[in-house]
Amino acid sequence: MSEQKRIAKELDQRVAERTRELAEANEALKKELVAERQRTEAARRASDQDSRVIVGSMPGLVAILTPAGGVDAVNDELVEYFGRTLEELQQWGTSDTVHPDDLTHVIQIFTKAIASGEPYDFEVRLRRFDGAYRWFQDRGLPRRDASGAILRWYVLHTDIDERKRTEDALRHSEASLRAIVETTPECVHVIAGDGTLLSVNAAGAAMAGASSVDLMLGRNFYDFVTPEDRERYRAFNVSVCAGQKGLLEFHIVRMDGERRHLETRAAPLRNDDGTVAQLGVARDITARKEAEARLRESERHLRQLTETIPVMLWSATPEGAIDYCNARFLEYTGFDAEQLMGSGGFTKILHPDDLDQTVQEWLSCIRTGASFRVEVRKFHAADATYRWCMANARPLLDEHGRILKWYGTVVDMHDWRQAQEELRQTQEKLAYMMRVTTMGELTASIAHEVNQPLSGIMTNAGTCLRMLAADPPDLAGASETARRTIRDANRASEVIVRLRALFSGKELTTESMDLNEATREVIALSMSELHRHRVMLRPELADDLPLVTANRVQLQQVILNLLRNASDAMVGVDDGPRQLLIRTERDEGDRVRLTVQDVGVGLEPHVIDKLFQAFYTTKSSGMGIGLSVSRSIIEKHGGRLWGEPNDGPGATFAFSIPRVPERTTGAALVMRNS
Amino acid sequence: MVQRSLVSVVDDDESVRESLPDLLRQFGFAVQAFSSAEAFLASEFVSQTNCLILDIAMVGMSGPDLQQELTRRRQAIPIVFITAHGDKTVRPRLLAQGAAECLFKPFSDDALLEALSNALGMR
Repeated sequence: MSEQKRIAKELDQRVAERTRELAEANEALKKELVAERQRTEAARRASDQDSRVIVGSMPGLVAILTPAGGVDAVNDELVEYFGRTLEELQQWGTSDTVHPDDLTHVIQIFTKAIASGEPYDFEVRLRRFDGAYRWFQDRGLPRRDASGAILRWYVLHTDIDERKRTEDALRHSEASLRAIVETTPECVHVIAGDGTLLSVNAAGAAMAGASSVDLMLGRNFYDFVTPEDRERYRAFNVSVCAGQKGLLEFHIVRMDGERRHLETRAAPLRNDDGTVAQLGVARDITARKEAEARLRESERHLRQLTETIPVMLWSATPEGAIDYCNARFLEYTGFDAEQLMGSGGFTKILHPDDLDQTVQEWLSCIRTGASFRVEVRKFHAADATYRWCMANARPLLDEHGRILKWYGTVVDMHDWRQAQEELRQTQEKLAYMMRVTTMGELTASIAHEVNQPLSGIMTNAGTCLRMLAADPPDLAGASETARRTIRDANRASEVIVRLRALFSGKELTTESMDLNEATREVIALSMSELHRHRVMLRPELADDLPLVTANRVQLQQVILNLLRNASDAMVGVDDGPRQLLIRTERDEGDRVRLTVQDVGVGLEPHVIDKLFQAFYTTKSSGMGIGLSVSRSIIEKHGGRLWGEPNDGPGATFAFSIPRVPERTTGAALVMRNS
Repeated sequence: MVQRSLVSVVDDDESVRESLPDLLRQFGFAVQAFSSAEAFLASEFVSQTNCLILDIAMVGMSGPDLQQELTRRRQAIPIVFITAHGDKTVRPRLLAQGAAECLFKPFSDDALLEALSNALGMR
């Protein structure tokens, strides 16, 4: 700004000099003209020619006009400048000699001057020979005779183009500077050393809550600063006015009473009078400060959450180095954050036996971006043991799918896992006990089945020997008893064949099997017992039953259990037949169903749920594990087992299993959870 | 042996009814076989029977049931129980209730003869 002022000053000086030179030239000219007038009045007309000659040799652009304003003569420089003849120049009012934008104005002044005889002076753009317009100062002076009548007009064109251009540039520069200052959204102000507001832009006024700049000017800016910041601001202003640049955050109270947070960048501004003021640019940072505060609060809240949540949290760099563990994590493992951070830091807390596999898995996840999930033993500081934990982590990806960060949790599942293990062991024990129990009952059945024909064999053999030993020997009788012996031996053999079929399958292996065949074997084994209990068994086995994939022995245990329960339930039935229906059929969804229906004591609705719990029994002699284990077996086969009361007397138990069992793991899980 | 003793066999197993009477006849007894306790009770041989060979587990009235019924009717017939079930606990209970013997199938012809001799000797 001061540079521009200096230029303007120099310019003014130069113009003044030139004006003075011109004035001197004018004066000289005037003197010469007066002298000439004094020399000869008579030779006036002739002297016109002379003066033309004189003008022609004068430096500068000079024209001589008639009293009516017509161009009478011009000097060589003028012709040279315009590149036009005298005749052409005489038509200046209608040609492009004068800049079209100036022409109307020029003609107006010129016409008025010619009419009034008053000297004229204006600025005008004139066309040079090459078509460029340059600014000139045109001064016209009338030359009068003794009577005062105008003889001629003498016109001097002074080239002021350079000055005009500088002035334009300056004006333009100042205008844009002012425009910038006025349109900037930041407050631009000049404050004197004592705090007086010397100047401020519209944004500054708005920032202070003033409706116009005028309301602000002349006031002491210190009054806007809040009391607690005022002394600090005063010191700052003094420092700037002493020549120091500076930056300050402070609060103001706006004219409408609202409190705002400002930030000012300031530099010293030297005035013409030698005093120094503060040129400052202030911005309202209230929103920014509030956002920062909210962010800090949000971060604090998040940190509080991660530090108090009863789960171990951690994060890691894309390369897999731990870069954060929450308090719970550190407390659990007893390590410092520094010990766990960085590449491989987490290996310190892993059980040595789990180390290799976990590291391999982690490295693989880092490579592929797959979710990390391992069951691993981690060091537990409180009792200095390793406990089973579930560690999980998922990658945070950018829009290109690159890993930015890993976020993970660790959950102690030691107790849960142990409980699961105990539950599994209990289930196994139960299943074993059921097998033992069933085996005991089976043994009794087998004994009965085998003893019956054996008894026949021994009786017949004894009879046979006695018949042969008689005198005379009863050969016909001996032959008959020997025949019976063979028959009973065959009968025993058939029992053995059935037993071998029942126990041939290895434990827990499955095979494609015919449920009907398995059912028939169980019926055959149970027949005598059912018979003894006066049970009328009615088998309804479907002809087109699909094969199932199952463990034969286990499935037969279930069927045997259902038959025995049904039989037991009908012990008290004496007023009618003890009917027992066993049915096989296709079930919905590629399943096969087996139903056992009795007419016994039935089921109270409230005991149905308990029926399948271990050690629940309605029988005085049972252990109450039959249905529980049966259900486990059926669920292991991907099926389900249920019981319901009949509409009439008795109850119905049934199971339904798929033709192809579900995955063993899934079924096993179901079993553990049940 | 002027008059042969009558031994009645009650068993729901046909092969027993088939084979046992032949052996008993070899021993020199007169024999009647019945497929159920009810059939025996309904017959004319109850009072003539000197010894009863009785299966324990039968459809309908069981062996012990028949024993009770006979006691109720004051028909004091010595009873030799036979059973294919290997439950050894049943024997002392039956003997305590007045049975002559309890044989587990399969039993030898000698064991049967001894049991019958004892039962008939008790008379």
